[in-house]
Amino acid sequence: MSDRPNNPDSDKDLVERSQNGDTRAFDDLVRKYTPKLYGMVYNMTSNREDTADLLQDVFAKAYRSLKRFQGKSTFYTWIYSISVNMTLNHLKKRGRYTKLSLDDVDSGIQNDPDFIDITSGGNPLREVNIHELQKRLNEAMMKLSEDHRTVVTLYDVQGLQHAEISKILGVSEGTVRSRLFYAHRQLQNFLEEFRK
Amino acid sequence: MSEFNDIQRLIRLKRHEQPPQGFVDDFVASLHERQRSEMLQGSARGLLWERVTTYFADLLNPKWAWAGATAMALLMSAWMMRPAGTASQQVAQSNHAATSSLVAKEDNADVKRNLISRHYGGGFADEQNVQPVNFTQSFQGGVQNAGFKGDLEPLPSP
Repeated sequence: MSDRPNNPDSDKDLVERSQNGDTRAFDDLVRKYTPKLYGMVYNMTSNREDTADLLQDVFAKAYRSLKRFQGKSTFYTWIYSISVNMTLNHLKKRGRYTKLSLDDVDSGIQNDPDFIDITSGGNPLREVNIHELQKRLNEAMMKLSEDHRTVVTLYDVQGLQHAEISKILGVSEGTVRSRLFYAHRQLQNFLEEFRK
Repeated sequence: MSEFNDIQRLIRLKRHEQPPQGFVDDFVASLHERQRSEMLQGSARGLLWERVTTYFADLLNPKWAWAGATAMALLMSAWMMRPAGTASQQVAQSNHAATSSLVAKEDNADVKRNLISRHYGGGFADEQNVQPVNFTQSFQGGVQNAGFKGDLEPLPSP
């Protein structure tokens, strides 16, 4: 499932109106992208308070820089790039150890085929508690390097394509694929007990 | 990549993690509050610094780096290819200015006393006492001398 916006043209209109001083248009952009960016930042920081603070910084910076946004990339790529860069800077300042805080898990997980499969008869951890699973996943993610965590978040959790991730991070598609490969291999070791 | 399928399916479960209910509305409201607060309470220096850093953050990209390098290369080329006369004149002027300030000035009396022309009697120092040679008397045929001192002296009579 991809979280990409369905209609990038509507972004263009909102951006142009925002650049002309329409603050309501910018609010619409904030409302549209906050849930997507929240997911991205949260999965990189594993901390709700940090996520909310970082998103404030991201949109404040985006608002100040909007006049110079020339539309060479989509707004979607641009705002994701700002978010990733600010999150990586934050993680460097914060250091490795921090308190993890868990987000709410929506009820849709109970109907997710992957979750049903994991908790079905053949799995030794079928009795696993949702929150325990969530905690283990977050811990495994936080063991990854920041670069690896970023590509796993954008590809596996957010459902972006390699080409989009490459534009957001400013690296080649080959680099994205390589980082994904090594990240998956590490996660395989960290989450060994959840595999069949 | 099939070996990673289980891992990917596990990680994809994280998409069910959602911000708290009403988060977006609260977020937009607090963003407005922050923007107003920045406008009212931010110090002039802080706002200036923010604007400058934001400007340079966008400025320092490869496009501007290339433009800067090209401009520097053009300036260097122009400096190296300017007319040679201009350069030598400038160098001469600067050298004259530098040396004239270092060398003490002499008055005219010193100059006259040291003029070489006052002491010059013609020829080199060891030639001044040699008598002029009458070529018509001493030349007795044969190859004419080349004009060296030894050639000019009359041959001793046998």
